[in-house]
Amino acid sequence: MNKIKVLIIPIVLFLIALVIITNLGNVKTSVKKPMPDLPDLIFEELSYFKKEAIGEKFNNQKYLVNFFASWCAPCLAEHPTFMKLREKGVIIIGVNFRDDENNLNAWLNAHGNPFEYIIRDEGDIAFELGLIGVPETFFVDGKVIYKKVQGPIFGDDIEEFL
Amino acid sequence: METTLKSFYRLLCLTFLLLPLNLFAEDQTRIDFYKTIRCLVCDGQSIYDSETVFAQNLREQIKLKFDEGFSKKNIKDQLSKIYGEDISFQPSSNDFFLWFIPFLILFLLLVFNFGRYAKKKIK
Repeated sequence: MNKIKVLIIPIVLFLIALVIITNLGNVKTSVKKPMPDLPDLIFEELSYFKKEAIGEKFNNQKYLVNFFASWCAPCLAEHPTFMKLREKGVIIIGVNFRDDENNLNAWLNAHGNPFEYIIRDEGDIAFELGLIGVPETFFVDGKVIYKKVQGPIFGDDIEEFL
Repeated sequence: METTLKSFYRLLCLTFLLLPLNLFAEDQTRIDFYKTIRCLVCDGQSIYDSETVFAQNLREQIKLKFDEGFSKKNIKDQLSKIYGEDISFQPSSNDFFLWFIPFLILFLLLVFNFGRYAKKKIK
């Protein structure tokens, strides 16, 4: 009996410690990473239609940077919201992520263009910003990202602009 | 002269024969690295196993980094900075220390209990 006790007590304590450590890991993953600044790459890229770099135009104002693609169904779901924002004068920079040029043009012709500037991205801008998927929208003040929405944007997310 | 030319020709042939082996080794290093990077939008898959846009893009960006001459450690640090520690399947050294604690506790308790058990037996 004593022999069993000698073995069981440490093993039970070991399992308890293991569970605690595992949960510590979970707590760590829920900690939010600080948001990076908008990479300079965005300001240097040539706009798809205007053939000019965005430069330092929006240094002192708030605007949105939206990653979208013509092959992305949820992007279409949030599109009317962006059209409304455009009517209200909100500046939206569209980053067209890994898309075909013809499909992009057809998509914009069919659904309208809410973007002040469109930049085509083969993945490097997305990588620098830690993009998980499209759509994803960054709320920017100057060059500082102060909010990020993964997935389609709806009314509550853009209350400050309405 | 002829012998020198022949030797040079043999060396050239050998270099061309070995070149694909070198490329293959580089590919294998990259593939092994892909297998250590977690696809954040998949269930338990690495970016090597997944065909999601996220995984495809990350594979391409990592390949570019390798081509630019970044080391595996540099690329891993960069990925951790962008996506957080979760991006890697391999825990950091801090995590290793955390995982080591339960085993240390088990070892100490076993030593302590066996010591007590042995003392009792002697009595």
